[in-house]
Amino acid sequence: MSEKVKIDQELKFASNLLKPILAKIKEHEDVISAMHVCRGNWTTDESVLLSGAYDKLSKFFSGLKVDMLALEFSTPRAGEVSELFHNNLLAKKIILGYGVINPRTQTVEDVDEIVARVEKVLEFLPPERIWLNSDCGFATFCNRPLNSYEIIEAKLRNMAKAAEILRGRL
Amino acid sequence: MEKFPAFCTTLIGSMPRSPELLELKKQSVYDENKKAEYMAKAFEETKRIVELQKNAGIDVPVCGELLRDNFVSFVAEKVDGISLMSMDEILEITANSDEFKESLNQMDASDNSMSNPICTGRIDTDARLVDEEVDMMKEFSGNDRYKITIPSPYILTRSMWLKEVSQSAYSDRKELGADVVKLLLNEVEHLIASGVKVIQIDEPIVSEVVFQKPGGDNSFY
Repeated sequence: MSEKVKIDQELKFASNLLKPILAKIKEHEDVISAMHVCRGNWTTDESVLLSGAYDKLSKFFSGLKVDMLALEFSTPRAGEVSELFHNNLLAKKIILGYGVINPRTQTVEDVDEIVARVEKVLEFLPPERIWLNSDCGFATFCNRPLNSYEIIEAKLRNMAKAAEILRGRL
Repeated sequence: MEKFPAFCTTLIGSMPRSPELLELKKQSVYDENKKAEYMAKAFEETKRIVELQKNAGIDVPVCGELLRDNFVSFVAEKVDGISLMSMDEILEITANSDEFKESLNQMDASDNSMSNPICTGRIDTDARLVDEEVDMMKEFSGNDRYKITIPSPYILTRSMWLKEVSQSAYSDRKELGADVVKLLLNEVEHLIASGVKVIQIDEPIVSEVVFQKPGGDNSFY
């Protein structure tokens, strides 16, 4: 069996498991369903982590009735947001949880850089359908925290400041 | 969705646990008397995490998942029919090769610090997964603007299926998947009835499906 067929079958299996859960949430208009998909954040060793743009998953995402996709975009391995929305209708329907801070690095993301990156997303989505989030959790595995609280807090403050600046421009 | 502002800020879920909390967790496994102390410590640290987020200006806080071993494996503590196994235990059962052990080294996953939930019997589809987290977020957020996270049925099914062990209860992983869906449907109904307004399903493993090199070993832990 070719790799492509194996991948398609596996994604179909995944999709069939997810659909009833998402349908249950969809029954309630006041509840938001979100799906978080990253490339793994169990280590700070970048060389062992997966990489690739989200265009390879856009068909999978398009087939799901999910309100929000909470994705990672703060690192080059994630590709560009344009690739997520290429050749599909995702931009018409979803809220994007746009990853703007990297839980695995000690560098605190600059406010103006976050703002500039979010402005690119505005080419595809209206402000009310853009959320800002970290790329992933800060300690997915309890014995492997990725950062100190001092750095985490600084990253969160800058993300929130960026959101304020963006709202101020509306 | 008017209640949420434009460019609404949130996190994905997990936060670092203190060494004290992790030590109490270990002790509480063997000592019933430590359980109350462990839960009190988790309560106190979760409160601080929510306050940290609010003070930083985060619109929709998360609980930090402090009670979880990891975002998936915690189900082993909650659901009969699921057991936590270390990589070493899995390697022993599956008689895996030195090559696989070496690939764990290369993936920075060989230190046994990451456990796996494995299906060892029929799972209890009525078990509750995140009740404590919901209770804490209701108390600390002061409103219904918070997010609760649950593992995806796919990552659960894929992670939990270990043929050598799981076939004692299910003929194949599709059959296991059907029960995993029941478990999560029950959980989602309960979350909604409890007033949760943002439910995040954690599904990172589809990345491995599309980005993994052909013939590669499991690269996601």
